[in-house]
Amino acid sequence: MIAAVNIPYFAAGILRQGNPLLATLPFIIGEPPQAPERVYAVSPEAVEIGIRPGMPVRQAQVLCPGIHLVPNQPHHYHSGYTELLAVLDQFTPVIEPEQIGASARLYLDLGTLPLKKPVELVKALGQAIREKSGLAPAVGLAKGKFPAHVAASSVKPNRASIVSPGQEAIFLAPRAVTLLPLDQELAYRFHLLGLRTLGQLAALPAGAMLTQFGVQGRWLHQLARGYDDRPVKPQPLPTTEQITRRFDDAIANRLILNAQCQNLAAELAQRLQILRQIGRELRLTLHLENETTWTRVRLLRQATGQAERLSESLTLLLDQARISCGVVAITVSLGELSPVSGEQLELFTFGGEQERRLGEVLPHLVARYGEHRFYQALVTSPLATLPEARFQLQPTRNL
Amino acid sequence: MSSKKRKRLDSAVSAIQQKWGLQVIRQGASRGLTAEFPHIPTGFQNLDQILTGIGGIPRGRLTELLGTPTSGMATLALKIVAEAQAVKDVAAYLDLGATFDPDYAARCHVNLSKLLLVRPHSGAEALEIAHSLINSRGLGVLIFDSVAQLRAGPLGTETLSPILRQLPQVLAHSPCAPIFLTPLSANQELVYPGSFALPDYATVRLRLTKERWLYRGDDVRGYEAQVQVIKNKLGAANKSTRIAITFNGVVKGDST
Repeated sequence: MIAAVNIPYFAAGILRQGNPLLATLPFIIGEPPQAPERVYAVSPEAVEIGIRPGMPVRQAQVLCPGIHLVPNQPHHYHSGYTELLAVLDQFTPVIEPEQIGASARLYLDLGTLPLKKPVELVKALGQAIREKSGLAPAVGLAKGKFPAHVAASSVKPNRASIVSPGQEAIFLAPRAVTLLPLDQELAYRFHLLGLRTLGQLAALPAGAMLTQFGVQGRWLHQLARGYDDRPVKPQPLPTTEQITRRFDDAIANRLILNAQCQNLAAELAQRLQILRQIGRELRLTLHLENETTWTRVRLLRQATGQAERLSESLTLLLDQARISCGVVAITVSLGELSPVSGEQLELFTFGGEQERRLGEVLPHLVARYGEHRFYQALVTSPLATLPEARFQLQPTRNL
Repeated sequence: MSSKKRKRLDSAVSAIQQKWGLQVIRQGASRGLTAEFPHIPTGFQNLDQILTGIGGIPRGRLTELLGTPTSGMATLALKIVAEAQAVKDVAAYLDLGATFDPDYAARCHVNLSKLLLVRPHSGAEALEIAHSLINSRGLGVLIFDSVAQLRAGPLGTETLSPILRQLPQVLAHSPCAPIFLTPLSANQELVYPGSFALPDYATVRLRLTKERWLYRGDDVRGYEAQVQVIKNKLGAANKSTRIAITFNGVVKGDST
């Protein structure tokens, strides 16, 4: 089963969380980069007044004099989106974001569900999004992406619609044909042909659709009949996470630089925690006053997202720097990102005495027999297709 | 025993000890029959049951697993590692043939972050490392894969037996359960290097034989192997049982 999650007031919801003053007031979000004078997104209260996204800001202000105009803040939407992903990841790791901006639409592949399970699952899904991210989702659950999308679009926020398997065609029949992914020309042709509902489209012979509209027509015909075998494609993972901090005055004091690096490590760890990722390739770049840069890379033995480990490694990298002039900015990036692999939680410390004893003898054995005799298998790419690529043997001196 | 006989025996013992040292003759420590021998469960309940007197793989003793390739020998060893790790033991895998598969081990529920993988360059080096690791008392289980590779040493097999002879002594004060994997050839012949008396030193020897593939429909979902206890110094031998190893995504050992 596939769940479609629609959040119509995504941008407004995110900004409302960060600003309690906007909690009950109608407001509009303006100044998108593409159309500076247009409304980018609106709050639900503004919609009731008649304001719509895309409307000129001046017209919105005429409809509601004194309405709050909030500047567009895409970085807030990004962090809100990552928080939303963290919530949805509890249900399934297969999540496809289709649209993130003024509104949000995501698809979740929930696999095969028992007969009574969908209702409970949809309730839990809606509740988790409401409680943890403060957003109002509309959820649709069906066998394919298109019926799920139509189901989610047919209900108000904080409501859900479930389409039982086999009932897709009946459910879709009275819905508007414009719900299909149509371009303007095709929509106009459907209009000229008098095709208003999906049921009318589904009733046409498949061969006629193929002849009249080509392969796309046949596909739309299948969608109208409730057949949609498109898989949910998870979003490709970002390969690098990066943070830059600029200073008003150039810094040459190593202690201050070290403190800044530790702050950056903590911030980077926080971001990685939201993204549920860990990385191995740590890169420190110092932007110097004389407009040159100094970069060092450290490949960590084991992928991490912990602030302490990142901080330690950054300190080691910084120790290598020979700073001849002041530093105006620091960039820290972590590459080779991979999802956080499943780890069994331990109630007690592992091994204890045995581990300590082994830790004492192992360095001696390494010194005697050489480093390339003692290894530890590390998880590198747990999702790799080839089993050989999932692990890597790393020479070790201690467990 | 009468007091006269006891006196004569005591004087004879003290005379021998005076002449050859205290270590040459000692009274065996009495062990209650019901006392449980320190052991690691195998992960197969019926196999633990037929290992009478122990209840699993004995700690502080040598264990040998024998079997032809694809008889479940390595899987059983990995299951024992997983069981040992479940009770907070640290494990080492001496991989002489460089055939260790981390993915398969992980599917056998082995915690790879707590597994030391050793790839020695010769048989003698492998035994020396095993000796050092056991002597450190820093291991709960050690898998020696495999005895067949011991012949690959540059100094021949002459150096192997003295190290093997020392292992029971260091094991006496170690919680480690070393498990030697001995592959059999297709006609069930042993492949020990010359004068390597592992069968003599082993406390438990188990022979695995693959009996049949397990099917679900047309798909092979695992296989069934017979495990025979061919030696057990702490209990009855010559018992056998069957174990089933299924590999539908996760390797799972089931008793049959």
